[in-house]
Amino acid sequence: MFETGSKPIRKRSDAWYEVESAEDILADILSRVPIKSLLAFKSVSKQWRRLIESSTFIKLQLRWSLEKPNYLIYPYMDGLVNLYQTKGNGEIIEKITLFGCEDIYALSLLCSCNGLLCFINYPFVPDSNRELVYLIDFDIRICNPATHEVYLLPKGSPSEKKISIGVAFGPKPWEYKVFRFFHPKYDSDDIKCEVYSSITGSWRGIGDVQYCPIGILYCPLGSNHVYVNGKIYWFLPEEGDIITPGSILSVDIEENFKVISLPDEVTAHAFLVDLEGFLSLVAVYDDDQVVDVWILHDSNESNWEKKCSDYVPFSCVDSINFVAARKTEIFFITSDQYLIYNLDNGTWTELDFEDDFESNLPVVLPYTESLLPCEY
Amino acid sequence: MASSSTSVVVSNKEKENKNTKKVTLKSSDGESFEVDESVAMESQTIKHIIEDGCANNEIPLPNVTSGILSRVIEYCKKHKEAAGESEPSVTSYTSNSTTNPLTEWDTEFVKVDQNTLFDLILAANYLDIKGLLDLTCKTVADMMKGKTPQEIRETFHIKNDYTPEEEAEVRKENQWAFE
Repeated sequence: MFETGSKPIRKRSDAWYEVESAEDILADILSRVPIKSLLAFKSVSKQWRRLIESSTFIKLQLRWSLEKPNYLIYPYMDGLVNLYQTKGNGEIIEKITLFGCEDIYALSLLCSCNGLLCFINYPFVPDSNRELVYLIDFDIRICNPATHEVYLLPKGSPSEKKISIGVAFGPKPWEYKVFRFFHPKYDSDDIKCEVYSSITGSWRGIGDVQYCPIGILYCPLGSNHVYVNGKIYWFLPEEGDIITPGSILSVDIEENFKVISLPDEVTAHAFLVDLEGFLSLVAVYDDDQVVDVWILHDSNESNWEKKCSDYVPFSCVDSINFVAARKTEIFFITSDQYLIYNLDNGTWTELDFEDDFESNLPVVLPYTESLLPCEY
Repeated sequence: MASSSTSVVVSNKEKENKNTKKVTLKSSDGESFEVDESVAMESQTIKHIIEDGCANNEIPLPNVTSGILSRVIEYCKKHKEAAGESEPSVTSYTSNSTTNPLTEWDTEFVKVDQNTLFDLILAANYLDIKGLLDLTCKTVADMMKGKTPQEIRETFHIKNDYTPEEEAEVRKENQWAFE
């Protein structure tokens, strides 16, 4: 049925129709097959390999994949990188071990989009004889857990103070840009920005910028930005306070920056997530044990809508480590629990992963499989 | 040819009960099937033919045999009925199954031999019936999961055009995927 070069099972008057049609149908079927099987199926025949590696097919597979996003949990930041894919019901559907990362010290998972993940780590300095090494620059890796590809980005410009990054995906499905804020001089407030493009494979300076996002170390385990619908959003610190968000910095894929004001005062327990294609601010108020969820409808104006406000089932003693969103759910990781809040019916569900893995600084992100390459 | 001028005066409700428009579909092997127009329009291909005013007496479907056409009509009837009765189903992301009551019926519907399944795919593709195409493609995709490349070749009658060296090289690229 899928043969295009040899005898078809049935005769048709329009042979070319059958050829085109058969390949379209094969693509439709294969685009629903898990990626691990697809990678093995490349060895079925040359036609299958050509199809699976074609850009149209990669786009088609991504389209189906994006309809059913899952969560990816990275529970143990030490040694081997094990990622656990789960639906929102606590069932682990896949354990992925990333190879090529065994010798890397303390990999931190920053963001996820279209099947690609961004990991950072401060390289271990082996011959340092001091206990505290002033950590400034980090390695950036883009990887695809479904294809097991890991790519280390080339080093950026030297920085005298801590750097900050954000990853944008698009506009084409396999184009990504990494924005890197750095400080060329220690004793000045100058901030510069440079952009890495997956298409050129190199960094390009875009000059001086006015703002530098809240540093990664001050954000819960490093997720200090979110990419939503063509823009990256970071928190900017409040005047004189390096931890508490005071406003939001956004940049689009054309490198235009904008500052957006927050709808309300927030604490350091505020997070930015992607809620159904819109930027959402999830603000937890420990004293009142309440969470407010805001949505930004128009990224060109600070036009926020309060989506909901609800009590949180954890006390202010439990710190929130990480927050992620998928469709109309928000996943909270506290020091004790994994919780999912459903915005549609205002319910909290606790998930139990005790039997599945040990946790140590766990991180969760929305995730779907894709065939997108990390390096071009 | 009877004129349809009387239908202008007939109310919607009566029209629904008595004057349900029918259309005749003719299979490649010459069999005719009379179906409600609304059921036939589950097929975008047929819908366009009707809307373009090209459906006079019969719509010939030279790419679909009677055996397959009757199954396709069964699918369309069932899904049209269900759409008329209930609210659109909502997929719950936290549960394993959808709340779609047709899931069981669909699962039984695709329990057929491989050739029939492939014919249904070709028919769904030609007739442009999204739901049926999704269902049948997903069924085949599920059949493929976990099979080795050799098993795939056997099941789908595909010729291996790699030399042993070429094949070994392709396998090496993604060795872990074979475990």
